[in-house]
Amino acid sequence: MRIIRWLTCLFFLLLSLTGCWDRAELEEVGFVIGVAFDPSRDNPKVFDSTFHIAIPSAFGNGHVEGGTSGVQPFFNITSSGSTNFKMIRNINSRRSRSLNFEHLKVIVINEELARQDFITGVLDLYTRDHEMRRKTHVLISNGAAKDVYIDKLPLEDMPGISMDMIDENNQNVLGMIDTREIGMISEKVAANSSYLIPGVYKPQRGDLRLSGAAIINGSTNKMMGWLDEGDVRGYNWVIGEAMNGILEAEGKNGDPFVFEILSQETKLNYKRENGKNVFDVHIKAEGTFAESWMSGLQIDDPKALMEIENILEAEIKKQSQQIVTKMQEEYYCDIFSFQKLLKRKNYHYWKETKDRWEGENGLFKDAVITIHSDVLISHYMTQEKVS
Amino acid sequence: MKHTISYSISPGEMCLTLVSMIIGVGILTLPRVLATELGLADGWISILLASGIIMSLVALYVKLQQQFPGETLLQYIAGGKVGKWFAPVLALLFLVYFLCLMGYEVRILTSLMRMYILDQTPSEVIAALMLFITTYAVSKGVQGIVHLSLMFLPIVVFVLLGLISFTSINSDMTNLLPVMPEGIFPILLTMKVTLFSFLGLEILFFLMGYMKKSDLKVFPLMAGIMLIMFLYLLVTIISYANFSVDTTTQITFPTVELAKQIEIPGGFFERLESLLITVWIMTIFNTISISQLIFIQLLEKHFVKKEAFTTYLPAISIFFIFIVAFIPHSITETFQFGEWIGWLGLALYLVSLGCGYLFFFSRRRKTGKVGKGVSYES
Repeated sequence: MRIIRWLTCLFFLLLSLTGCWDRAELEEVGFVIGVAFDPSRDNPKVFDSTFHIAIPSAFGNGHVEGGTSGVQPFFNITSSGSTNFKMIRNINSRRSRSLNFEHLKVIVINEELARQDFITGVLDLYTRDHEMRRKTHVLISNGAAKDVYIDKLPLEDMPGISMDMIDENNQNVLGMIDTREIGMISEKVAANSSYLIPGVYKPQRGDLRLSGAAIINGSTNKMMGWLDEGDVRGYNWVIGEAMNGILEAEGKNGDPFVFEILSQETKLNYKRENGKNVFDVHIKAEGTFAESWMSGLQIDDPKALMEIENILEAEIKKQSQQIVTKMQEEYYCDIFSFQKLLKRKNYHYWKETKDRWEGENGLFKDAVITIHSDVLISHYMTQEKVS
Repeated sequence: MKHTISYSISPGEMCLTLVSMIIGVGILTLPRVLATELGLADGWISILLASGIIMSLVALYVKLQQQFPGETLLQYIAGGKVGKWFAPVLALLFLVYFLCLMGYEVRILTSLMRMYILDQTPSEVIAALMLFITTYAVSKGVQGIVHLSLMFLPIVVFVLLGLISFTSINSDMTNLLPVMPEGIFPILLTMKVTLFSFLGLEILFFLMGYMKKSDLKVFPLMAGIMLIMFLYLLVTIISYANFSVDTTTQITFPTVELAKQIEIPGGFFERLESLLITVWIMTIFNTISISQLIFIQLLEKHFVKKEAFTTYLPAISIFFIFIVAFIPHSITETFQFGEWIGWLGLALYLVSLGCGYLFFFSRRRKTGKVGKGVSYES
């Protein structure tokens, strides 16, 4: 009896020795670093996906320009279809390795697709699947999306990695918006609020460049238009993400000087007055007087410093006002998420107006937005006169 | 009146065992369920209120338990005239409850493993292995189970706190505002969800019988409930701050998704969700093994008295749990199933507590007789 019992136990334990069902050798996996989406030429329902895949064994060649073997450490492969997953599986019939998205860094969407109802569809797989991270960066390309993955840039092994790192540099550039991650976009989609996605531009000859931003409408999730760098500067001031950028301004005789931002914050206030929605935007910036081409400037004179601060304040105000006006009069889109503040301050009013906020007859258009700016130059390094 | 208790649970051990039991599926799904039920960011208030209620329920039971140290609640109820008939009914309901609970936990465990870690491994194998291991743990009796809980819980809490501290970097606390824009009423409606996430309290009825009279204190258990409350609050608040309430409603396991968000510089460690799931399996293991132990003990005490049959009880219990685990067809049905279990558990807790007090008062009125002690070995 006892022996029978033991044998039964052993038999059941044998079942656990069938091996590891989920073994995946690292050498047999193709890591996708970036994806690009382009419209297909013939059919509106079909689109092209380009996968930007790493070849780890060839990594490091790129560090020596005109490298040793000259093998590119990546390859791109394009497939077309009407669903993402089918295309991913299609690649399996054409290349030896199955794709793995654990290290996906960048998703680039062609502007033409973004103007159709496309963003939510792409988001679906790329947030639903367990392999995908919510931290993947999203970009909109001005021109063919697949082109951005063609030319390797110096220093990094793959253009996808370069792009990811350039995107991270936004804090030093006032004309770049903060990175948009797929998780963040899905938040905006869930909340039906408008948002921006950074733009990327790849000319026929020359390197890719991240600049400007695409405006995405919150209710339709379609792209409405582009913002250029000037607009983005204003946007960064309004939402308080100017971080570590620099501001150029002109002094008395049109001589330029540069203000480097060290810390910046924006305080928003909301009041409902006489049936109007009033937003107060207080932009505060602190930084250094970093570069000057002005002649005869007595920088150690408090008056002169005040004057420079005033010039900067006016400049910030101008930039911010420009974008606010553009949004209120041209696009009717609340990309600054003023609505979120509305929800916090006046929940019941928000609840009753949440579907009437944006759009041509929306309330955002008629909101009164006043901008105040305050600049403090904390130091100016040298007191030498450049003259 | 023969007591042959070789091992008694200390108050601290009881508290940690309770925590191990309660932390289960809830810690992964609570933020989503709350966000779905409420649609606002006030879920944390609901957690605070629920833990207050749970604390009072625990305190009530400990007061009752002090009247019959060394006995379980069902034994105490069985000591009365009416109770003799009533105790087996309760025991049967508890059997059903623990059976369904174990099935549910196993099922969620397999779903999660298939979703995130092992997508080729058959669910049945994962479930079967888990049940084999818990059964082995159960064979070591109360002492073994309690000490396993003590061993695993610090690891679980430590890893959870570590992961959450990593994710708090990109959190936006303004997502938690406005506070109570709709007033308190909708929050009260979500209490059922938060109360369910504290279920597992029933084990007090069965395990506090192993404690000395001098150890029957309320405070350690309160501390345990506080710890769970703290973890729940943290997970919920950080989920909302990371994903916003609207997005949390769409994520099946927000806590796992939180762990996925973590990016440790260097790009070498990028799959921290597997660490979280591994650790979470430990707590699920504790939950299942405690439940299974009580399940088998209930059978032994109330239904299967013959020594010859008791040896087969663990094997039979595995068989039934396995069947129950695969009754729901999909993850949606599984969560529905979980809700029913929640109702059953809550009802059972309240009914048993009520019965206990009724017997206590009626007995005190009559004679002040103490229930017949049933001797048992651990």
